[in-house]
Parts: sequence; C-alpha cells; structure tokens
Amino acid sequence: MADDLTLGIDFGTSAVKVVALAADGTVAAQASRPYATYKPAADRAEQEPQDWWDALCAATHEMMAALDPACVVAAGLSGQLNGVVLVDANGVVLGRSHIWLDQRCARETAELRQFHADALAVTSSPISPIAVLPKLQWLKRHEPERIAAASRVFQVKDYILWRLTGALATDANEASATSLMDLGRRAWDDRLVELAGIDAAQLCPILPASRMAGRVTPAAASQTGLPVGLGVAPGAGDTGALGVGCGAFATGTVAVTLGTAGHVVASVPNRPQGIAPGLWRMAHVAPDRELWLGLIPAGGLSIAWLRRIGRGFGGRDLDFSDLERLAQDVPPGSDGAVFLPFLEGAGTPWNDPARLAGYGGLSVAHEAGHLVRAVYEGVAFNVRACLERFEQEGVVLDRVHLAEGGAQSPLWCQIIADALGRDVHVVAERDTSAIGAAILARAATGTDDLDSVIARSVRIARVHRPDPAARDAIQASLALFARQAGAF
Amino acid sequence: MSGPFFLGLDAGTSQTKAALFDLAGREIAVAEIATSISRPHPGWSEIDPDVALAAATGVLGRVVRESGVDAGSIAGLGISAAMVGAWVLDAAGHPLRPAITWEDGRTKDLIDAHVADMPDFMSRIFASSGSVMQRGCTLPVMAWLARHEPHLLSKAAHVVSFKDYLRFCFTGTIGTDRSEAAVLPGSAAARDRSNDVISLFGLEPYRHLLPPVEDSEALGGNMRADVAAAIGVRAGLPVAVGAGDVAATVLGTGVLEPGTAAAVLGTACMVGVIDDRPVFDPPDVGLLFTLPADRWYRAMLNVAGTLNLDWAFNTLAPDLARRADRFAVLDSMLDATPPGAHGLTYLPYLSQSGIIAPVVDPAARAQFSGLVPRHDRACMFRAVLEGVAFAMADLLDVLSFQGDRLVLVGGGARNDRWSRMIADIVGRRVVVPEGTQFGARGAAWLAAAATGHLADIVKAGKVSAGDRIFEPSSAGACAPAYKTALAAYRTAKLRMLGPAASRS
Repeated sequence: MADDLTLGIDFGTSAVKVVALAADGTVAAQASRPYATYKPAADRAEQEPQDWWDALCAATHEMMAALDPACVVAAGLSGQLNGVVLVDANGVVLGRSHIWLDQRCARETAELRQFHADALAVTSSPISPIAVLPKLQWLKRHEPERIAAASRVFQVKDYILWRLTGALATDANEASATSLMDLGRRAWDDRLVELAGIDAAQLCPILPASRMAGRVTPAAASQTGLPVGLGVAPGAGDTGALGVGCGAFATGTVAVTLGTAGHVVASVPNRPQGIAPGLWRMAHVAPDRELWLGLIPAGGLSIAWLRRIGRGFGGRDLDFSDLERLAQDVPPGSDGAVFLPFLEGAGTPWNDPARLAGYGGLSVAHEAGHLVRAVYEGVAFNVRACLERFEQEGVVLDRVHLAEGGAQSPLWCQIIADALGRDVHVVAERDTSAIGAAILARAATGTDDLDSVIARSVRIARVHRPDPAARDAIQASLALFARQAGAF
Repeated sequence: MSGPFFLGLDAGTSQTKAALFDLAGREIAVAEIATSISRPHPGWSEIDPDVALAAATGVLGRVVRESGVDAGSIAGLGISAAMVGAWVLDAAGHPLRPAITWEDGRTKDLIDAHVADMPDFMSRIFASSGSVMQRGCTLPVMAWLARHEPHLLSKAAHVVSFKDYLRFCFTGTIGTDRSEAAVLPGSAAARDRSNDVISLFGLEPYRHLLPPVEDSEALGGNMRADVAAAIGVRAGLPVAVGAGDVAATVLGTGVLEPGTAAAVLGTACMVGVIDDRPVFDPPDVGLLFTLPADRWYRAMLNVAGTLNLDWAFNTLAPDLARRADRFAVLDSMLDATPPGAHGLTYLPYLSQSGIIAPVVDPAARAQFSGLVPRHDRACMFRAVLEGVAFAMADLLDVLSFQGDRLVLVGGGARNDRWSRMIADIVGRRVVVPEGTQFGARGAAWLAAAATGHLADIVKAGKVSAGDRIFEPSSAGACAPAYKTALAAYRTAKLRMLGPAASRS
C-alpha cells in the first residue's frame, strides 16, 4: 500500500493538531482546532476534557473529508504532559483538568523537594509544580472528595485514547514526566504513587509507544469520523513525539524546536540514575535510550513578542519576513546589543524561573534591526548553552535538526548555525509532535522497524552551515551574553 | 511692552539660540539656528569659527527683527556658549584653525600617558577643580596642540573658549569669565585658573595665551558698529563678559539659593545643587561649576537624558517618531500603564562612552530587564522615562541632596507626566519655570547686571504665575507606587555597575 496514511493526533497546550502522513513523510491532510485554557487565578490553568474531545471531532472531520478513509491504516497520539484528568467508576469526568501550566501546587512541590528527595531519586529529574505527583497531592489536600471519587487518573492523551478505544494505556515517555515513574525500570514507582495518595492500579499501564493499544469504537467513530476499528497507538508525550518527528532518534542527534517554547532534545543511551542539573531526563520511545530535554521556555515566544512590539512599524503584527528585513543589515553580534530570552524565566541550563528577559549593551548606535537580530541571537545562544550543557554531561552530539516556528526564518536558521558553530539541518514539516505521533502509528502497523520508518519519514528541507566570516563577532557577542545571562 | 530689553545668546554645538527678555525675564522673542560640527577623525569634534560667528550674528539679528522692539530699547547683550575646548586666535584675533569643542576626544592618549606617569593625576585635578576632567577641556587640548601642532601654537596669541571668541568678534576685547577659568581645569575655590594645574600639563610656556579672567556680570566691551548694524542694534551696545552655558542655564532658571537642586533634562541630563561654597564630595565623580555671586553648582551628569526617549521613538516606534502628535501618543501610553511598568526596568546608560555618574564606567550601557510577555510598547516607553527619573534620584543621592525643591528645565520638563513622575520618584517638589530659553535668559540677566539694571543677580529669578509645580506624593521619599520599581532599578544597576554603585 504505497499511498496508505497514518494519523497523528497531538493535543498541544492551546490546540489539537491532526495530520495524515504518507509513508514518505509527506503530509496528505491536516487540521487544527483550538480550545480554551481557564485561569481562575493567577497560579491556575485548567482545561475542559470535553473541549478537547469536541475540538478533536471537528478537526478529524475536516481532515477525513480530504482523504479516502480506506487509506487510513492507524493512528498515534501525542499530548501536552502532566494534565491530570480524574474519572469516576461510571466514566464521568470529575471536573476540569489541571494542566501542566497550573502552579497551584507550589507548596506540595517544596515539601516533596525538602522531605522526599530520596524517593524522587528514581525519576532522575528535578521535581516541579508541572508534574502530576504534586498536582495529585494538592487535590488530596484541598479536594479530597474529588480524589476519593476517582477510579481512574488519566493524562491528556490517555484520556483521549480511552474515549477513542476504551483502552487504558500510557507510554514511558509521558509517564517519565509525572515524577511517579522509575526511569530505569520504566515502571510506576510504589513509593511515589503512595506519596501521590492514589493506587497504582488507578494509573494507566505503561505500554510501548508504537504498539496498538486499542481500536476505535463505533461510538467514537461516529463522533470523530475516524474509521471503526482503526488501531490507535499510545504514541508519546509531546516531547517524545517531537523528538521522533524531528528525527532525534539515533543517539548523537539533537533536535531543536522553536515553537512557543523552545525544546532541545537529544537521544542518549540509557544511564544510571541521577539528576543532570538544568536538564530533564525522560524515557525515549526506544527502550534502550533516554530523551534528554533542554528547555528554552520562551524560545519562539520571544519572536511572537517581538512581532507584537513591532506592531507600530506597520500598524499590524510583523511577520517573519518583516523581521528579517529589519535585521538583515545588522552585522553578526548586533553591534553589542544582547537579548536574554527569558520572557518565561530562564530554563536550561540555569533553571531559574525568577530570572527574566532583557536587552543589554544598548546604546544610541542601535536601531530597530539591532533589537530584532539580538532576539534571534539570544535564543540561538540559549540553544548553544543547552548543547554545551549536554556535552558537559558527556553526551556526544554529531547532528543538529531544527524544526517548527524557528525553521520558517532562513535568517534565524543561519544565526543558529553561526551561534552553534555547527551545520543545522532544517526539518521540512511543521507540527513535529503530530508528525511524530503519525510515525509511531506507522511503526505500530508492524510493517517496518521504527528506525527505518523515521529515516524515511523525516524530511530535511535544507542545511545551514556556519559562516566563517561571522565567527569572531559571534564569539564576542556570546561572551557578552554569557556575562549577562550567567555562566553556562 | 516697555524696555529695557536684554539679548541673551546661547551658542551650542548643534544649535545656536538667541532670545530677547525684559527685566523680569519674560521671553519677548526667540530664534534658533541649527549648526553642525565636523568630525575629521573618529572622536574629534570641531566647529568652523566663521560658521559659528555667522550663526550667532544671524540668530541675534532674527530675534531682534522678530521681536519688533525698538532697537533703542535694547540695553545689553549677554553671551553664553558651550564651555571649554579651544579657540586658537592670532594677535589680530583671527582663528588659526577650526575650533575644538568640549565633545572632542583626541586627548585620550595624552591623558592616559599623564595618568601612567602620575597615577593620581586625575584626582589632583579634581581636588582643584571639583570636576572629573573631560577630554575636551581647554588645558588637555592645549597640551595636545603643543605636541601635535607646535608651529600653529607658536603663532597664537590667545586660546579662548566659544563665548569669548564671539565676544571678541562683537567687541574687540579679549577675556574670559570665572565659570570657564575654573573648569579649564582650574581652581573652584579660587574661582580662577590654577598655575598648579597648568604646570601639571607642562603648559607654563603657553600660560600667556590664556586671557584675563573677569566676573561674568562685568561689562566685557561695547559692540562694534559693523556687528551692531548686522544685528540691528545700536552701535556700542554693552556686552557682558558672560558665562559658560551650564552656569548661564542654572542662573537662567532663577535659582541661586543654596540648597536648591536644579536639573536640566535635555539630550543629556544634568542634576545639581546650588551651594555657597565649592563642594568636592564625593571625590572623583561629577562636576563643579563656578557661578556668579559666590555660588557654585555641584552637578552630576547622566550622559543620556531625553536622548533615551528620542532613541525609544526611533527604535521601538519609528511609526511615531515621524508624527507631529507623538508626544500625545506618548502621554496615552503613559496613561495606559501603571507606575512600575508592570515590572519592566530600564537603565538609561545609552551613551557609547558609558557613564560618568553615579560612578565612572565607560562600559556601562543601557538595558531593559524584567521583561515578560505582557510587556508591550507602552510599558517599554514608561520604563524608559522611569529609568531616567530613577537615574536622577540616584544623582541627587550622590549629591547628598537635603532640600525640598528641584527646579527642572530642558526638553523633558515640557512633559507634565514626566515632570510629575520625577517629583514622585525623587520625593521633592518639582518646579518647571515658565520659559524655554534658560541659557539665553541667564546670559541676558548678566547683561542686565553689567549695565546696572539689575543690582543683585541672585534676586533675578522670581516665581512666575506661569511656573508649573508638581508636588510629590510623599514628601522626602519615593512614592509608594514606585518603590518596587526603584528597588528593581537599583538591583539592575548594581548588577551592571558592581558594588561601587551601591552607595546610591
């Protein structure tokens, strides 16, 4: 079946994206629908699981209308990590999901950090309010009746899998972010599950990312427009799926995505337990590897912010080509202007949420283009800081893939190549988490192994090589950046 | 309108302004002409003396014509101009080369060599003049000329400053005033040049080139008939000795009362306090100007004042920069954002040569910090204006200012919201005097004193109904609304400048 298609379904933070991917990596159809985030207080962020489902149904109907349903052979999932969904014994959802952005469990997080560091060691990652564990503790403390009524504890895409197929399954990549999983064994950890105040049986079993977990039920098929009986693989958390979608599969390949957040993910051979400060160690979709994550929280948001600031230049938000035009005559190093891309706090390697963004080194000599180029360079320097952090941990990196929003700007791609001093391979398709989910679905059909499927499906659009002429200016600017951002 | 009227001239490096005043200091007419400097080498700054003279004569002629007053009712002219630098004249008073301005940086290596020979070279100068010596001061420039253009200097008869050159052209008399002599550098305590400082530069052989020192409010000479005809005033018009532009501007604001702060929020921002003795504390930072009437002005300069706002328009809002109503848009942006700019902080160190107060740091640069996604352009503009105001508060702290009143002039003072913000942040009443040409007004008052129309220069300034008064929210302290932002500003400043800046 040369023209068969697999579907990737990705529940992002603000929208669901669905893609139909051909075996050669081309996208045959796609659709997207947004959903709301409710913010009842400054530290709270909630979403309505029914909103997800409704958005999914609208998106799949649109996509399927553009396809021959007979060509669709499997579906795979991807989703935002750490969104908690409680469901009772009758299958009724118990209130809105506290999603990863919800920070209300700061106290529980601090207590865990202070008193339970030994128990948390098996996760090999720092505890944060993002994770499921402190979120469940908060619910236990503040809404005990809700926890008591819950028979199932889902995360976002697992809830969707259950509604599509009735199957209960998560995957190791998603589970590894919850602070409930032993990374070495890829299994729920009894002590941590007990700390969460639930029973391990309430959590979904951890299945391989690319094995069919269930089939679309007639009821779900009628609502979504997907074929009855379509096999669905658990896929991976959005980080794991984007690693697949960007081709960060072979060890030594690092993928950089600059969507709203910036992710720098590397495939690393499995390691003994331990925290790599400033990084997040996660389970890879391949069992013999880990996926190491460096986070640039406002990697792409920095550009979105710049576009908004620049609105006055032309009475509308600027697009990438406007920004490129402003920045194109500014030399590498931006004549000493430096941007720290910490609009949402400093991620890898500093891991300091209180450290915020800024421009430094400004003088009368700087014009609008300098402010634009400095943002591009600041994010690129942060990517470099992530790579250097990986290397400090002994990770060998031999290839860089770049995808998503950042890849749309040739100037930015070149700046990243210059800042890294490495060739940058630009991935052709956007929405890499959805693409990754579709690739995992294809692997789940069993016709080929995952390595081969990825090699066939991830297309490189172009390669940017570092410009030797920019080297000195970039080095000088990098030193200024490091002085203001803090050593890395 | 009844006389007598007095002309004031304020000649700068980028524009030359003249205004006509009555004895109460009311502006009758104002004119200005843009001038330009040339930069024959990086860091050099020169003015063509003929162009400068033509600009001065032209702008005076225009203001006389446009005022419509009878030439006979104009009783005197006072001159102020950009200070120091070097205007090298031969015995006939003809310029021997382009004038070197205060902005000129050619003496850097020469000064560095002196410091290498004598590590406390700069401190010795400060101990006498009360000012951190700028590269464009007259003595280092003379030393540079002695070394690089000795033949030219051997032909010279006079080395004077800008206003003294104009006075010579107008009257044929050579001299300078105390405000210039004390910053050559000279001696602030003696209100004169200093032979010791001249010796530090090895300039004894050239001391005779420096002109006699006179009081600013003394009569300098009478206007030549040809110049008077060109300007449209009577021949023989009395011309006062005049003063350097900083001294004239402070005088023109109408405050010579010890303990009062006066700030000029122009392209650069100067903040200082009037005193009745020369103040040398804190040492090795800031400037000290010798004023008429046994007053001194101890000042700190933030190299970038309204330059920050101009830059913000050009870089963040080129769409607004060209609009005539940009200041109305600025006001609406200020109204749309609360004090503190939602946590956004700006350090106003926009000069490419860094800062000279509250500490000397050539590497200091401007920055925004505390940026989060919610910050929009309005927040950035507010942060820029607040940053300039915080820097002014810093400078008042360095000056150990104890008074309750800050007189504010300059382009920035035209904005009510900015003036009120400054009052709230420095915790003092801000008085913005009526008028626009304070350097020219100070010069005109010197002419009034020189001609006997003004018995006491200290009493020249009066409260005018047109003054704008901004009372602080909390007298003597930063307003509560700005306290968090002030703390953030200080943290950012400390991070950039290091502990040396922690005293403020």
